[in-house]
Amino acid sequence: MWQALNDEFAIDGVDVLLIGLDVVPTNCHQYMDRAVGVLEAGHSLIDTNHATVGALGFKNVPMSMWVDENGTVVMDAHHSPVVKGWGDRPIPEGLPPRMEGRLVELKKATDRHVEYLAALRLWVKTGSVPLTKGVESTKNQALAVAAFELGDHFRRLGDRERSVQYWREAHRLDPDNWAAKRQAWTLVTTADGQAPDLVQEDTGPYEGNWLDDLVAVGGIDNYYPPTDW
Amino acid sequence: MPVSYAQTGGVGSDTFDTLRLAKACGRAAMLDDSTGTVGVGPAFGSTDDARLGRRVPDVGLLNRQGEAVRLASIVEAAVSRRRRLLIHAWAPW
Repeated sequence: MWQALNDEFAIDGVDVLLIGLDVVPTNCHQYMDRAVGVLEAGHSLIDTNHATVGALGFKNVPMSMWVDENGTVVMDAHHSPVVKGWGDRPIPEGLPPRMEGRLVELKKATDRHVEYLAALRLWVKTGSVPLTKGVESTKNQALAVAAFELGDHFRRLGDRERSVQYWREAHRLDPDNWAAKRQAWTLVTTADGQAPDLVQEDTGPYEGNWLDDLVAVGGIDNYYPPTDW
Repeated sequence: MPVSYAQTGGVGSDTFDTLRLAKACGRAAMLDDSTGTVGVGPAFGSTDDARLGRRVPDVGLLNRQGEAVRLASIVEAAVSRRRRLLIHAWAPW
């Protein structure tokens, strides 16, 4: 997909830069290896500190930012669905109830990928951007990034107790920072040597889990920041 | 008190300087007072923290080989070639 989009956009002077978020960089490698070789290697990178959450506003994924030929942000961080949603996919029979519940919620999403790709292609072709306002941080949202940073620092030092303490604080300060929550949850729920768990159910020392938190915010259409495109 | 920095690198010689500098820059900072470690977050609560219409903020990233890459260097390279960028965040989780 990204190969095709990159080829399409390159003709009009737009390069794709993919950034994978994970505090364990090897978790990104298998996905990157599918893109490297089609994208230039320098255009597929890893954010191991969640630095882009605070600096660029990527509080969930997938999200994107558009940058003009002067290096100026012309479209701030926004939800960027580039593939069709789950709405038409059947739910397999016999799934565990919570897994079925997850798919039921995913299928409720308003599929806006056609609308998004149209806005993106318009920018690529003409430089025209939707009327948007920038995304600014509140004090608690900014403190949540600092708390996440502390928690990750202690995680790297092997101080699990302090790491959990600060990541819990990050989650409390900014419940909309799904990147911080999903990162912490998946480290708990993924078995050793396995690919990162996406279900994120039994989250151990952390409050909440993917499905219950999603329902609590009103469902999948409130999962990402509101969009202007 | 000796201080270490969680991720942001040295921005002061001790805890007090770090917190004072973070405050002066309008950035969030959090101190773990048992270890003297400071986590620094982004700016907040003013138009200074707006990204729209401004240069892309710089952050440190890694390439597939584990080498450090600055986002600013990617942006500079694009600007020098008069290219635009679509920065897309994804995650394996």
